[in-house]
Amino acid sequence: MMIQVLLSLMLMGVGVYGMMQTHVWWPLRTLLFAAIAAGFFFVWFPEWTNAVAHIMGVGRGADLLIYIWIVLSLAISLFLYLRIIRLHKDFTDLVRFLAVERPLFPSPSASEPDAPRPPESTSA
Amino acid sequence: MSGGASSGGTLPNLWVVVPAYREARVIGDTVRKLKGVFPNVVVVDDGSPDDTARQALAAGAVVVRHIINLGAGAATQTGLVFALRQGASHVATYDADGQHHVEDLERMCERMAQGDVDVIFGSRFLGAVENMPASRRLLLRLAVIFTNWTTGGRFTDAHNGLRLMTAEVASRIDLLQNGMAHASELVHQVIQQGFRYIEMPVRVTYTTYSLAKGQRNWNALRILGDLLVGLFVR
Repeated sequence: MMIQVLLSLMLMGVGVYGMMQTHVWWPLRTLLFAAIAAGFFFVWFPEWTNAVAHIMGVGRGADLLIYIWIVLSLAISLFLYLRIIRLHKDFTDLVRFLAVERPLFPSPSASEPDAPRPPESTSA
Repeated sequence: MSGGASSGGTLPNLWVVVPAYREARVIGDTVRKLKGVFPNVVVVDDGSPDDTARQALAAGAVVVRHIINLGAGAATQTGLVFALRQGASHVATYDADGQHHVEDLERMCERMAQGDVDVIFGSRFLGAVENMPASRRLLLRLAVIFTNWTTGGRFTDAHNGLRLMTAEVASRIDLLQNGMAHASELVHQVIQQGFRYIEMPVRVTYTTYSLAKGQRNWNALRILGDLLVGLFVR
């Protein structure tokens, strides 16, 4: 009973957090709420996990939960990894923009007469 | 052949891109040798914590600086972007650590001036290699096999930093690999877009400095990993 109350409170916390994320794509939020609802159901009626597991061809409900957890963890890890790579690309573009916008030209004494010169300013 | 205006004159609007990270000890010499022949040299300082930018500037190069270290590929791409902004007709890439020789780039310019190729890759295995450790040679050979297998090209040296390309090629190259895997990526993009390319023999001199500074052999695994991830992310 104790663990059921604890898990329910945690699920409620996740639900409240989900409701606050109004900018998240609505199908994703719907999926989250569906998962929370399923979580409530299986927390209070754990024997049903065995029934679902049998339908899926798995021996016990606990095993099914572990399999789902592993698959979800891998999917989330891959998603986050790809997201980090994309963020890194944005970051690279930003660093590159700053670099090419602020070149340092050698002083005339350091270079020959045909050395590159900064373009003349067009602003008044 | 050697001498200032000759090759600079062959491709008068050539920009030489030198990616550099922590090369304060040698970048001045490298730039001075290049500037003896090629007036337009840009050093891309890839967030070096040392004096690289100041030494390059004092030697007469234009310097663009990454505010943080991103990697050789990112620095090369930044150099291409900058050179094109300056109106370059051709762009060369050249390693900062002094392992290349200016005469080789001169010969590449003369060949490019004939107008029948778009990209020239330097090949140390067609030319001469001085002081290369056996393990490095083996690794580079494996890199060639991998690059030829994945690109369908026929290269003898896939990871040579000495290259020369037209502005058209430079404008169509978009390196997403920030690290050393950019060399294979560049080859892949050149082939994929149907540019005409050749390899030319060049001399590469390994020094104690360049070997200590260069890639560790185990980095090959990281490059391979980067290339595999790159297949899925664009």
